This record gives sequence, structure tokens and C-alpha cells, in this order.
Amino acid sequence: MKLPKLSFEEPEIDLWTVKPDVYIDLRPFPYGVSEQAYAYSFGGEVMVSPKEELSSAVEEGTKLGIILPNNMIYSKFFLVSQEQDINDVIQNNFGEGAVDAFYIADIGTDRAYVVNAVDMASKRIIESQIPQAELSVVRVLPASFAVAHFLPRSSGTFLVVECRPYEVYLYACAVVEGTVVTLSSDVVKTNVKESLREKIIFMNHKAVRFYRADSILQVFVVTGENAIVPAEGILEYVSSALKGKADISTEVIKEPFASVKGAWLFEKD
Amino acid sequence: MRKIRLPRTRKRSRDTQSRTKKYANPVFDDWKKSVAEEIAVRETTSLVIGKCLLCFALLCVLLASFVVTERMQISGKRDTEAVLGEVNRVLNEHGNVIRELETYERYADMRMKVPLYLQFAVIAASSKMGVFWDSVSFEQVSDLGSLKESFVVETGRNTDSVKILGQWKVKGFLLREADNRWALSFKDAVEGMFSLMGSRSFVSAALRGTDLEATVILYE
Repeated sequence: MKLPKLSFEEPEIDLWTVKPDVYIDLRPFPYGVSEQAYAYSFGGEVMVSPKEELSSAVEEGTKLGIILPNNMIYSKFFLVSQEQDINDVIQNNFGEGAVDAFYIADIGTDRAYVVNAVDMASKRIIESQIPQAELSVVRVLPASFAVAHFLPRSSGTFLVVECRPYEVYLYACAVVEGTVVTLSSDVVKTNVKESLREKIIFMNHKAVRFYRADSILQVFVVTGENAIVPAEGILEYVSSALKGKADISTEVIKEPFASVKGAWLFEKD
Repeated sequence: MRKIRLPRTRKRSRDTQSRTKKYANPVFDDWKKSVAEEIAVRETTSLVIGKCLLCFALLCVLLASFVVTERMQISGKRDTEAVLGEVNRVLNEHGNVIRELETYERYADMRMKVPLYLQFAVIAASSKMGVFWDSVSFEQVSDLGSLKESFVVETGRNTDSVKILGQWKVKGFLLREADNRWALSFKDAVEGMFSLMGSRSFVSAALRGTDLEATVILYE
């Protein structure tokens, strides 16, 4: 006599049901004279600790949410035609690594997705930065997404200029069906004046031509005390880059930890 | 004939994202291993507990239905037995009535010189001598059995030369013990009463303490 098979469905692992205990921004801050440190928060106050001291704050088994610089996490907005399948697109574009897609909306006959991916090389760097024997990561967000959540709610295409101690990050973002989408991102470390101008022009061009979005009409300058370029200088470069555009609004937000705070705002949303 | 192969239209994949999903979250398997294990254990435990509770509930339902069915069966059996007992009692009563009716019918069919009810009246009248009748029966048989000899001796007639009309057999008891004189007196009284009706009779009475057993033979 054959016994009937036991039918246990494979349990669904949905990481969104688990909230991180702590969010860490893996972009370094200066600490002391030569040391580097990271900003992290358990949901309240934001703290800055060097890597060595981070291990005492982040214990074994703590569920981590990490914010990665946009050159370490590949975050791309995809328009997928009716004939295509997002899984095939992922298969063709990404090799070994962690990949995830998020459906945004139907745009015309296409479907819009955000695909985020972290490659193996970045993985090794991340693992060396966090002093934990066994990582327990439940959330990985690009810095552009986290920072955009800290900004006041806006619509259309906007530019975020995040001024940090070592570099200036540029994010061209749009709000599609209520979701913040990063259209393109870049970073400037040297020759800020010239590089910034060129990159902003190219990002605006990319947003309009590649993604069929509106041109940039709103600029947010997020800056802290140790920024490499003061906010006034940034505003001047931005105005120069977007010269000729009508009614460009600019806003300066003085917040050195916009990414960590934005990540928690997104989490509590 | 050449087959024409139509291009297969690709099925548009459904967006099977979980309703709780809030954004693209690329996490390496070894990073989420401990959390995934925790979720898997929780999900599996709740699944197993759910299945166990379901099995237990089913078992309880089965057990309850078994107990209820058993109780209903016993109750039904008891009710059926009660109905059958009642039916049997009624049937017995009706059987008795039918038997009595058959006796009365048989008695009614007997055409006799002295009607049977008068004969019965004679038997009943003898109770004035202090005897209570327990049973009275009448048979229209000619065979006298063990009484044949005493009949011949006492009546001086051969059984072949007389016609036996019938036999009354009575049983009863007396209020106090009596002797043979009482039996003779009983015999004379019964025979005297039958002779008044123009019928001859022979009475045989036997006393055992207060119990009386008598046979009255009518002949001509």
C-alpha cells in the first residue's frame, strides 16, 4: 500500500516582513585626524563610529539595513515591453550577484521596473567594512533612494546634490506612481566646478531622452558641516549648468545624515 | 503540405510580487541565511501547528460524530425494543381475546339438551358451598379416561350403553379444609341440580387440603 505524500509547501521568505534593527550608511565619514567612520541609527538618533567601535554597537545577530553608494549598488529603471519578461531581462543583464526587481507601474504599453543589484566584488568590500563574523542583512538600499526619502515630497524629475566630506553625489530622480525612482547617479570628487556642470547637463539629457521623463526643474542641495564645497558654490554651479531652463527651484537642506534618516522614514512609511 | 509555424506570443509574466514588497532589495543568500532560517522555522512551525490543529479538529469531529452515532444507535435500539415490547403485549392480549372468542364460539356451536350457560350456572351455583373456582372448562368428549371405572361402579351403567354429552372440569379451593363428607355433599348438590334440569350427571371430586379438583360428566 502506498502512503499519500505529505504536501508541505515551501515557506515563502519575505524579507519585508522583517525590519532591520539598525541602518548603516557604508559611505565613510572622516573621524579624528585620519580615521574613517560610519553613520548608523537604530531608528532614533544618528551616531558616528569608526569601524573598530562599530562592532561593539552592532552585535552578532543584529539585523542590518545597509545604505550603499550608488556606484556600489546597481540601481536602474527599466521599461519592459510586452514581449519581454523581467526575469529574462535580469538573466541577460546581471551575472552572479544579488538581484531584485520591483514593479512600479504600467507606462503606456510597457511595464516599469526598478532593478537593484550588488555584484560579487562589491560584496567582498561590504563584508570587509562591517566587522561582523556572520552578516545578517535584511535590507540593501541605494543612497539616492534613502536620501530622496528624507526630502520634502515632490513630483516630476528632480536633482539631488548630496555634499559630503569626501565627494559630491548627484542623483537624478523622479516620482513614478508614488515611488521614488533613480534615473541616473554620479559622483564628483575632484575639479568640482567643471565636472559638476558637465554631469548635471548629461543627467538632464539622459532623463529626457532615455527615460522619457520631464527635464529637471527642482534641485535639492543636501549638505553638512564638513562638505567639500559650500552650498552657495554648489547652487552657483547648478544654476550655470541648468541655465536657460525656466523656473528652476532650488532648496538647500542642511543635514549630514539625510540617507540614514531617509531610510528610517521609508521603513516607517 | 508545408506546415506554417506561427510565432508563439510570449506570455506576459504576472507581477507576482508580494503585497508587502516595498522596493527592490538585493540581499545575498548567505547574508540573509540566519533571517531566512528564522522565517522558515516560524513558517514551518505555524504550518505544522496549523495542520496538527486541523487534524485534531477533524479527529474531534470524527470522535464526536462516532459518540453521537453510538448514542443515537443505542437510543434507537432502546426505542425499538420498547415499541416491540408494546406490540408483543398488545398481540398477546389480542391473542388471548381471540383464544377466548374461539372458546366462546366453540361453546356456542354446541347444540345440547341443556344449554351450556345453564350447565355453567349449575357449576357456578355450587360455589355457595364455600368453594372459589380457579378454572372452569368444558369439553365435549366421550372418553372418560381414568374415571371410566368409578363411573361404571357408581352409576351401574356401562360406558358403551350411555351417551356422554360432555365433561366439566373445575379447579378451586376451599376456605377451610374439608373431608369426604363435604365431597359427597358437593356431589349430591351438583347431581341434584342437573337432575332438576332433566340431565343425568356423575361427579368425581378429589380434595387435597383446601384444593379441590372435580370432574362433572353429563350423560344420557
